[in-house]
Amino acid sequence: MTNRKVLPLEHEHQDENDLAAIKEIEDGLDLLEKNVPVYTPDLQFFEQLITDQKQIMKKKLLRDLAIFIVVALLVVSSVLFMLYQLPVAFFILQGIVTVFIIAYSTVSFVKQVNGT
Amino acid sequence: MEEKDLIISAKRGDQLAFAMLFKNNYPFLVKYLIKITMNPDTAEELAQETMAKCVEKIGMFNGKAKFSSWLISIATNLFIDQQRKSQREKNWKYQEETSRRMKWQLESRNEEWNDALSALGKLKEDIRIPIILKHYYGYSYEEIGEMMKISAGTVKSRVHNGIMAVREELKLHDEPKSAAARTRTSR
Repeated sequence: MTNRKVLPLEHEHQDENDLAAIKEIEDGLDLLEKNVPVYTPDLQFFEQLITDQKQIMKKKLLRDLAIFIVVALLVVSSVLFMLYQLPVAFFILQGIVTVFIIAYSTVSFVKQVNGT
Repeated sequence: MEEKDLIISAKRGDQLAFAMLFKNNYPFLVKYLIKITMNPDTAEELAQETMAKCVEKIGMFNGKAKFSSWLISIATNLFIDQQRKSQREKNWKYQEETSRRMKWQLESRNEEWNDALSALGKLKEDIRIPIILKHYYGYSYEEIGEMMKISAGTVKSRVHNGIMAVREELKLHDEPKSAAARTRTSR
């Protein structure tokens, strides 16, 4: 607080120049605001845009859902196949997955602790 | 119908309310985009993309900020992503050309042009946008930081560096300081 008294005059001058630059910027942007015409479409245009976007979202959702179901069926059928046809491979895979999850969680936790 | 009611209806799936929200905010959005892109055609394209994104994300709008602020936040991030993808940010000439075209468009309609706009046009968009949001729209550093997903300190330094660059372009130097230096050296 006491340092405020000894602010150099150069800073004041710098502030003046900054303010002048800001004023120029504001004036320039104001020119764009006032002089570039913007045509606003009618309400139907916006309604159509919303309908189209909702259709796109619906299609995307259905596609994602289909991909998810196909992948899930593949994973489940291969796991069941392994369990009944190759039980040793199944238990080895279970072990590997468990070790991987424990290792991954530990590394993430350590990183988080070190980061804070 | 007030904006809050329109937002509630839009969230419930009322397309007419959504369309009215867009119609009311469209000029504001396009004018903002013209300022940051310096290109009316790009601004209109981006405005449509912004509205499409908005339809997707309306469920996430909490209503704390104004709807227009939320719109320009989405538009800003869309523009930055687009620039990154097309790597136009590395092409300095492209940005200069865009602002020159804008200047020509205005002058051809006998409208004025301002040198600060040319200076702004030469800046990279991640510096130009915070300057426009801070000094034209009056958002705080924190609000701009939230919009651009960066810290308030980064926004502050970008605005400062941007203003310094504009000052350089406009030749608003510290004359007394340099004059003093000159007298000191002459002695």
